[in-house]
Amino acid sequence: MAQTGNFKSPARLGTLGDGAEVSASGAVASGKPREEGLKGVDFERRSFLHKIVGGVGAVVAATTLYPVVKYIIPPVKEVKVVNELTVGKASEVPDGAYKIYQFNTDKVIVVNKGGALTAVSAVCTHLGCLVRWEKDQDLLFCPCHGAKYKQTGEIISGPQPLPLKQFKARIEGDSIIVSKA
Amino acid sequence: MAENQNPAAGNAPAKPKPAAPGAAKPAAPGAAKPAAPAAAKPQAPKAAAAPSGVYKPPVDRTDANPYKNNRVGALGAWFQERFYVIMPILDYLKKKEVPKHRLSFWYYFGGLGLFFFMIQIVTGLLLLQYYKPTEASAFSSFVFIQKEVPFGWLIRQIHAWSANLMIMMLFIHMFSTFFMKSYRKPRELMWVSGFLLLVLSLGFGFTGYLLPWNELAFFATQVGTEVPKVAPGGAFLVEILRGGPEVSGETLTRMFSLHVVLLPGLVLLVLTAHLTLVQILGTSAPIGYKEAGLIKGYDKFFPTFLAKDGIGWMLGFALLVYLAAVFPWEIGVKADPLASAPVGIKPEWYFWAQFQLLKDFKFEGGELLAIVLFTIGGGFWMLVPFFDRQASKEQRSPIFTIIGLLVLAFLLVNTYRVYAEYSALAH
Repeated sequence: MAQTGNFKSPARLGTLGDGAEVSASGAVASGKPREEGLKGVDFERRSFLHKIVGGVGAVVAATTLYPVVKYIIPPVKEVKVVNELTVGKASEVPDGAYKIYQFNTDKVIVVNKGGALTAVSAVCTHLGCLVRWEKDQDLLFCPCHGAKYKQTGEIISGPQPLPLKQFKARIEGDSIIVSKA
Repeated sequence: MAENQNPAAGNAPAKPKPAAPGAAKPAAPGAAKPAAPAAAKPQAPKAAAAPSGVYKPPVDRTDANPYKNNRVGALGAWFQERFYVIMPILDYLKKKEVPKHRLSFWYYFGGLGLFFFMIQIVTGLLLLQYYKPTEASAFSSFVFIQKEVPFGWLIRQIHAWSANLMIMMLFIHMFSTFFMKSYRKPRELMWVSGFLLLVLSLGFGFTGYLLPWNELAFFATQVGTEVPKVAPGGAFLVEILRGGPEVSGETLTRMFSLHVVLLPGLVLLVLTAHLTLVQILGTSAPIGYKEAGLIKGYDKFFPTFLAKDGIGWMLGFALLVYLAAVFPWEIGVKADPLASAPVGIKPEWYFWAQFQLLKDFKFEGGELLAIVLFTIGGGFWMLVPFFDRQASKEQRSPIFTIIGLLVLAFLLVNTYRVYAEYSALAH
């Protein structure tokens, strides 16, 4: 059906009774013509008052919203930036293994290849997944969208725009120490 | 309806009586604005003269209880006497009819979406009794619900499945109304509000996905919230959404608050508008059906079509319980912000088409282009009633049918590509 009847005044509206017949023009219900009712209204004064009320309202709204907006923006967490950090025990990363550590604000993947440690950022530069070390293929691999990096962070292939940020890792005694490159 | 044309509902006694001399204020110009009080004035002196001191507002009814002869019980009469104002609205709703024709089948899917949404409210409230939205205890409370709480597994599985079925129903409902051109004049705002409901539902899906706090959810949210960063102002939005520079416990709490407070409130608001519009404007039928005599009759919405809807809901409920019991969603491994992403990270199926497009646009600036395309496409889709002038004149608009088919084909093909690729990964 196309529209049932004339949708602008459907027959169903009849049940709403006389009250539904609201007329926007002509006389107001008390019988006074509208024009007479507005005679003597100072429109300049009215528009001035509109502006004042609107302006005050905007100021009140802004002062109310300001703390709310500030509140939902998360505060920056203070991280004490260090040049090097003991992140763990050497036994955690045996030959051929890897582990991700927090270093300052970075997540760093420490890879042990033949006893030599390398450290690069573990955050894939594509969409921020954490990469893994693929021992057999000798590369860093992001399982989210297949980005591939060399052990030193250079791009091999994939959708990623940038190489991984480099860090240094070494073993001192029994512990792994990550430091800025 | 003669029995309902009572003076109480309308303003029958409002015929201009000459102002009673007792109440005579000389009607100054401009002071005579309010119509109803003026009409009530003749009775006012009586009430005001009562010495009791308790003011009783004048009631302009001829009969103390115009409904006393209605065929309702005592309780119904009690309510009618007090809320007689809404009686005309109820009478109005009684007149809604649903056309019967060969495409009537598609009328059931909106109601099914509503049904699954109601299930979501109930099961969501139940899950809230045990779930704890913090980094430390989200996963353990989730496992507790699944393994310890009696029937907790059932409630969680129904919540997860009902979410998916609800979005599926909304998609079917949307495309069926699109192809029937039900969005055409005068139902433009029904379409727009329906589109907003779909967007809000996708928001529900996205925010709810993280709440189990397992690895899959963690990295899917990581990827999903990384994407808008390429858009101007996107990084700021992402930071607010995440509650910090990266997905963390703060993100969990924020997603939780959106999922259980903000989105339900917004949905109820838009849903009220959507359903009110359905009642006012009635059910549409495809263009030309009435003229071609293809309408086989009309069902009363209350109660006939609602009862038929009920059959659909029961079938939906049976399917829901079956899926929840036989195909449980996984529990997964607790998210560890310092663990590599597992293989096969992908969003929920209703984001697969967008996901695939992002993967296809690998070139420089491709992500931004994909976001721009989706924004423009979504805006066009939302405003389609205003572009399709032909349909609004009750003429066929094959161009829009083709556009709809292309959109549907894009969604289906890309969704299937993700499905094929990731099932190959899993084996």
